[in-house]
Amino acid sequence: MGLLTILKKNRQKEKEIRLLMLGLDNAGKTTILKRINGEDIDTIAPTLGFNIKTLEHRGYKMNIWDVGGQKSIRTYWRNYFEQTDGLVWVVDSADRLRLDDCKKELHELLQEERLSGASLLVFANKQDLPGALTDVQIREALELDKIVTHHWAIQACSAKTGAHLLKGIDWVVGDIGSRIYLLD
Amino acid sequence: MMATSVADAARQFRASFDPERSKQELAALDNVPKTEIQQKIDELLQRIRALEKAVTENVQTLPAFETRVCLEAVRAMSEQLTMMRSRLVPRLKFTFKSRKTAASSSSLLFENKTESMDTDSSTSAMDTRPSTPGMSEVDQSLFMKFENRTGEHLFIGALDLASPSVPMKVDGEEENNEVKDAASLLNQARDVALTNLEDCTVNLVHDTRLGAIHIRNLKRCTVVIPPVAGSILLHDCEGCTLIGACHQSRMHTSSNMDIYLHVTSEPIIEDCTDMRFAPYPYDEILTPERLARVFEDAGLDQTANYYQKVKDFNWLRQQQSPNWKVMSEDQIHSGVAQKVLALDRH
Repeated sequence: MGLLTILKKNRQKEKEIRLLMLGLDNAGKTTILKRINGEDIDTIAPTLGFNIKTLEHRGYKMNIWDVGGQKSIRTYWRNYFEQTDGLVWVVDSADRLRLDDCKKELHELLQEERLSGASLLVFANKQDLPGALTDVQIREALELDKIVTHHWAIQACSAKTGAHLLKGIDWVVGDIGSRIYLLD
Repeated sequence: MMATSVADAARQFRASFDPERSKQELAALDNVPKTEIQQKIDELLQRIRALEKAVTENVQTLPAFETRVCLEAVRAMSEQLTMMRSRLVPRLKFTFKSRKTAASSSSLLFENKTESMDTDSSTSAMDTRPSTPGMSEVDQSLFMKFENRTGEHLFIGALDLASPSVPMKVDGEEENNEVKDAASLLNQARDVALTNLEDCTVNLVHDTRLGAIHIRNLKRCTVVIPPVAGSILLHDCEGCTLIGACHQSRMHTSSNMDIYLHVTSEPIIEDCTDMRFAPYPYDEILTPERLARVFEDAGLDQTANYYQKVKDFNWLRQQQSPNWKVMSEDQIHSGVAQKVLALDRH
């Protein structure tokens, strides 16, 4: 009985997934988080620190960390790397001026040892804007095909309308699930 | 005392550490009936994990060589399991078990990965793009920009806003299931980019609904922006006057700026100096009725203005940051916006 209880507890604990959401400032990270969580998205201010939300999804308990993307606080991103199962990289698909920055930051991040096991989901956000680049264009611009160290996928989405957010989250949860808990 | 307890622990470990059984079962996996294979694999996986854990827990008590041998045995088993699994249960997508083994079987992973990624992007491609040809042209016409100008007056009406006749990608149809036509596209908010301008005046007040305004490298310019649905993003500017209304204002690496702002969240500055903030000159932009409509269109609350609540990322102390201030009454230049708007007619 005692052993069974311990096993069960262990199992419950295991079903936690930690997602780290990063990207340049104004990419829409907080909007995605709030949209997923069903909160109001009209009054979002630039993130000075971080937000955490815990959600239940497909039997997993997801802890989503949304960390501010301003340049001066990007150096603190590393404080959140530990124990990360999935990295969600959010891109403002209409921000052509900073696609190079975006690519550089992402590829630097992927060098990070503590993120080496994490699945990577790229959200090509702001598809509601007519001038937004498509996911194929973002994939090229960010040179995603060069990434061989991580499982990755790119998903076009709009945090504003909520389009395709779930699909992306489903992918990352599924990928992490099949990787870590292959019992399921 | 210490020595005996360590020796005891090591002995205990040796008695309990028995990889042989798992090894044999691993080898016999081929003969397990298909219906039970998944269960068997799970069982083995857990046992291998337990073995690994036992070794790491006993690192202190075991001689280094023994530790290495044990870990090697565990590693070999988990690798073998991974291989067996991918062979016997091919339908499951990602077959590696731990991060460590991932590296050793990378070729297999890469294959899986590309496969899954391709299906992923092709499904999303179907969702979001009824047609891709001519995409770049569409992008050009819909992404409005002014760049590399000196000493000119630039107004948004001058940009060709002709209808985007090329089929556009449609978004969110999963949710609202409506196919947007060119007319409704014209109604969508568009982003504007202003880059490398010197001594220019820019008027963005127009019937076109605007999304985010991206501004980079402007010197001694005056820019007038109507209420927009997105953010105002500014980088590397100097000696400019910026007049704008938006949801979020983010300013970077700029100095000596006069900013007349209506912003519905706390504006932020980063690596900026000598930034002066004042309220938006509402009555200079449009008539009150039209202005109210534009505010509503942009989803902005006209009664909430945080222009004096600037957050400076380079100044985390309680005291007022030296990098910005609110303009006093006599520092506010009235009529600046009006003058810029009037230039359109010349």
